[in-house]
Amino acid sequence: MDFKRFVSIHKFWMISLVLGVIITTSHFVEGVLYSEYDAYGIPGNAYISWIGGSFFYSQSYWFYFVLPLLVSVSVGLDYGILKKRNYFFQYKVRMTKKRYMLLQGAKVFSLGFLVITIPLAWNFILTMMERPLLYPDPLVAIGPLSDEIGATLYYSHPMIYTMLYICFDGIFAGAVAFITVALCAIIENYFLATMLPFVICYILYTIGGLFEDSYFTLNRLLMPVYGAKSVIEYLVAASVVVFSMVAWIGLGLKEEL
Amino acid sequence: MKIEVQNISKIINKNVILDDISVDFISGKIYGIKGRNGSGKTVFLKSLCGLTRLTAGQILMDGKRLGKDMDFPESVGFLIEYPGFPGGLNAFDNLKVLASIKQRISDDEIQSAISRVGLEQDAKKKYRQYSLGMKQKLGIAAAIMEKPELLLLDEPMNGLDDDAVMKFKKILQEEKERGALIIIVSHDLEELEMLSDELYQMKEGRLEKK
Repeated sequence: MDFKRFVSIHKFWMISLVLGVIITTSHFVEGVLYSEYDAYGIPGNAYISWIGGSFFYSQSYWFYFVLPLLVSVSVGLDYGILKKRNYFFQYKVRMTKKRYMLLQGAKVFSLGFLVITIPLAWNFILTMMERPLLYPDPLVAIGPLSDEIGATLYYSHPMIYTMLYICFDGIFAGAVAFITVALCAIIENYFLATMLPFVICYILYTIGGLFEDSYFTLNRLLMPVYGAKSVIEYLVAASVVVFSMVAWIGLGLKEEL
Repeated sequence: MKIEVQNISKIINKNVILDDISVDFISGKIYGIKGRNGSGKTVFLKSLCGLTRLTAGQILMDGKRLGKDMDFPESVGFLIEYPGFPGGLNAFDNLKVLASIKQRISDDEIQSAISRVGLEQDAKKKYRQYSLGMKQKLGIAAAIMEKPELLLLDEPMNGLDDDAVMKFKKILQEEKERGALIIIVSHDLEELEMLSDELYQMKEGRLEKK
């Protein structure tokens, strides 16, 4: 499929991607390009200055806060509109159920994964061009604390840690995309179905905010600089991924096929 | 091609949509199914496509059981409910996306399907700019472009003007001569009597020959 056809079928995915890139680019302009020092007065370092490196600038906060919304809008509205038009019937009868399921699954996951990882990677690349790739200093204490999972990797191989964390965010986004599509398949009002994942995340965010460290809020878990405090957080994230697959296969596809 | 529908039923939320239907269809014929809104016509067409799960019964296509030996009919074109395509693509691009799944037909054959339904003059317009009749024409083009053995059409003349109706009737005859098995569903008895070789009536989920 050429680019024109892709854009036409995935209009809202493109809009979400552009929004994500705008947020991360504006972070780069304000927080990196026009700021010689970081907010704590520390000389620039790519691993700290990029959007996943801290909450120094509002764009960091907003990007991770609206991440579930960017993902659900990017897949939910396009999917909902085409489902309402019975367009997927045309696809299904031209292949087997198994092939349809694999293609649809791969597509939904990839769209969710890419709509988040592209803006993050874009911001990191821009920051790398402006700031040195110095190894993070554990004494400065901006980064995962020693008791946090991945802290050793962050200080010994920060590039690998950062890449892995961007992928982790992408996988989480893929899971949110699965949940969105499953909801769109079973809820008639696709706009409502698209908004639901964000509403759920917002409720979790609010509940998480009631606790002192609010480690369980997505904003914190998904930010590379903070990492996870305990294995439980990764287990919670993994269970979200597994649940999304089950929801998509059990509810979404069952309804569709 | 032979389709054997054997005692199929479909119940949704305790409502009987299809009630113990048994009927045979063979290639080279046009079958008309008349029924008022909500009589189960569309669900019946969807079940022939494999797009809905049956509560009871089975459908055999050349001896193969639909939903067990095959997920969907091997060669089917359909227009069910209203045709829907991505709004930002023109007629050719929309058909090209679908044709690229099976990769059985060339670009010339896609163009030919567009011409047959009389959409060639509007082929460059985007789908969102189409009138109801033009959307219907594109739906018909999508159904016939791959020369399917089974052609299922739900209210195919909705929104078509007189000229388009004439073209559609010509297409039906050509498809019939080619050997396709055609099933048309409509609430308009006069229209069906004119087009069909055999006529059926769908009433409260039951199919009766007229």
